[in-house]
Amino acid sequence: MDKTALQLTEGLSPALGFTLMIGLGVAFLALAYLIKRTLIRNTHDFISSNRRIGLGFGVGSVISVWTWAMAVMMSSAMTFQWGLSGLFWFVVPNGLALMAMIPLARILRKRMPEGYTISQFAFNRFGRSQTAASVVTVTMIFGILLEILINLKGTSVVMSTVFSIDWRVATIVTVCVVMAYSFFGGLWTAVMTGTINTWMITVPAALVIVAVFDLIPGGVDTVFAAVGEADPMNLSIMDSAAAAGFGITLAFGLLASVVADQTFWQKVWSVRKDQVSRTFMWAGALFYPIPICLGMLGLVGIGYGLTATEIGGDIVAIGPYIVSHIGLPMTLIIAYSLVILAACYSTIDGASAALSSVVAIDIVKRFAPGTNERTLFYITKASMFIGGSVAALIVLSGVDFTSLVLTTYALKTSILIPLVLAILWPRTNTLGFVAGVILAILIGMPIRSLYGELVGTLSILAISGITVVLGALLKPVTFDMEELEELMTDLDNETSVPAPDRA
Amino acid sequence: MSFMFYTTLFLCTVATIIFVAGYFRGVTGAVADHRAEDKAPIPEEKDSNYGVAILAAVVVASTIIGLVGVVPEMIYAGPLLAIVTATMNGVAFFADAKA
Repeated sequence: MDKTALQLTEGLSPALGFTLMIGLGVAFLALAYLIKRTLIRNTHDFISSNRRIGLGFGVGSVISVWTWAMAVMMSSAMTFQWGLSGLFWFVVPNGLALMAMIPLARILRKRMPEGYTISQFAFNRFGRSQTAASVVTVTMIFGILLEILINLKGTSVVMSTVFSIDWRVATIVTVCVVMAYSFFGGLWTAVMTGTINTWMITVPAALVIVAVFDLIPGGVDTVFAAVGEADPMNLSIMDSAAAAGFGITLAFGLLASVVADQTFWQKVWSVRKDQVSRTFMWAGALFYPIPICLGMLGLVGIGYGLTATEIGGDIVAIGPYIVSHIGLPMTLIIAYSLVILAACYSTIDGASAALSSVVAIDIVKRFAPGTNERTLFYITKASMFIGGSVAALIVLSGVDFTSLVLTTYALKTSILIPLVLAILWPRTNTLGFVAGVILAILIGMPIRSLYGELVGTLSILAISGITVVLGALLKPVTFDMEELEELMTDLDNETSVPAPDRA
Repeated sequence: MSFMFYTTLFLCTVATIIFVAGYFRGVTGAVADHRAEDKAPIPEEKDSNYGVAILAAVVVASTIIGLVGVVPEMIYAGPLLAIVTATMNGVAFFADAKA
C-alpha cells in the first residue's frame, strides 16, 4: 500500500460544500414547515410531540442523535490510533450506554407519566428542592451546549478538510442552517429529520466503505496484511493499553452522556409509553454497526502507514482524508460528506429541542409560573437560537475549549451515580444528592487533573456514590416513588391554548 | 467496481425501499393520530426482561470486531450490518401496531 498514491480528488470545491450544507438544510426546512403546519398546536406538541412518538421514529431519532459528527470520525480515529482494540473500546460502551437507559426510563415513565425533564424529576423527588433541581439543570444546559459545539467543530473539520471551506464560515453556515429548520416544529422536526438522518448515516456509509476497499489493490486481504505487519496487536481487541488509555474512561463518560442528558430523557417522555424500552433496546443494538462500519477507515489509514502530521495534525481527520484522497467517485465523496452532515444536523437539532424543554419547564415554568402560552412558546424558540449562537461563538472564538469539555464531562460523571441512585434507591435524600455532586466536583476534579483521566473518573464516581450513601445514613428518609405522579406540576393544562402562529 | 460493491448497492436499494415505506407509514400514522386527537388509553409497557437481549447485542458486536482481526472478509460485516440498521429502522414502523 503506497501512500504516495493518495491524492486529493479534484473538483471538491467550496461551492460544492456549501451546496451540500445548505441544500440539506433547505430540504429539512421544507419538511419542518410541513410538520409545523400539521403537527404543532401548542408548546406541549413542540417539546414533547404530545407523547405520541412511535417505535420507528423513536428508534431512528435516538440513533441519529447519539451518532455525533465527531463520533463518526472518532470510530475511524480510535481504530487508526489503537487498532481493533480502539474500535472495540469505542464501540461496545456506545451501544451499551443507550440500552442502559432502559431500566431507568421504564421507572420514570411509569412513575412520572406526565414528565418533561430530568431536572423536573429532581425537583419533585427531592421535596421541591431548587438546589437539587438547579444542579441538574445546569448540568443539562452545559451538556447540550457541549453537544452543539462539538458537532459544529466536527463538521467544520470535515468541510475544511474535504472542500477547503474556511472552518469559521463552515461553523456559521451550519448553525444557521440547523437553527432555521429546528425553529419550526420542535421535537417533531427533530425526530422526523433525525430518522431520515439515520438512513443517511447508514446506507451511504456502507457503500463508501465497500468502495474504499475496492480501490485498494488486493482489497481487504492487502489491508489486513499491512495492518498486521505494522503491529500484530492492531488486529487484536485485547490490547490493555487501549482500555487504560481511553476505553474505561470513555465507557463511564458515555454512560453519563446518556443518563445525564436531557436529549434522551426528552425521548423517554415523548415516545408512546408502550414503546419506551423497545425504542432504547432497538436503538442501542442497531447503533452498533455504524461505528463498526466507519471504523474500517482507520484500518486503511494504518495500512497506508499514514501519520497524524500527514493528515493535518489531528487523527479525527483520518476518515475524511482517506475518503477524499483515495480516488473515490465524486458521488461517493458527496455521500460521505452527507453522512457527516446528517450526524451533525441531527445531534444539533435534537440538542436544541432538548434545550427548549429545559428552558420551558425548568426555568420559565419554575421561576415564572404565570408566563402565558404565547410568551412561553416564543421563549422556547428563542432559547434554541441562543443555545446555538453561544455554542457557535465558543467555536469561533478559536479558544481551546478543552476546559469546557472536561468541565462538562466532570459534571456529567459527577451526577451519574447520584442520579441513578435517586431513581433506583428510595433512601437517596437531598443532602446526599447535592453533596455527592458538589464533592465529586470539588475533590474529583483536582484528582483528575493531578492523576489523569482514569484515576480521576473512578474517583469522581466513588466520591459521588459514597457521599449519597453517607447522606442516607446521616439523615434516614425513604421516598415513595409512587408519590411522584401526585407531586408533578401538570403542564398539560397550561399548554392547551393554541400556539400563537396557529391561533 | 467489484461484485461486492454491486451486491452492497443492491442491498442498499432494498433497505431504502423498506425504510421509505416504513417512514411513509410513520408520517401518515402520526398525522392521522394528531388529527383524530385519539384519546384512547395506551396500554402499559409489557414487563419484558431485556437483560438477555442487551447481553446478546454486546456479545455479537464484540465478536464481530474480534473476527475482523482474524478473517479479512469480516471487514465487510460493518457495512452490511449498517444496511441492516437502515432496514430495521424501516421495519420498526411496521412492528409498532399503532404507527
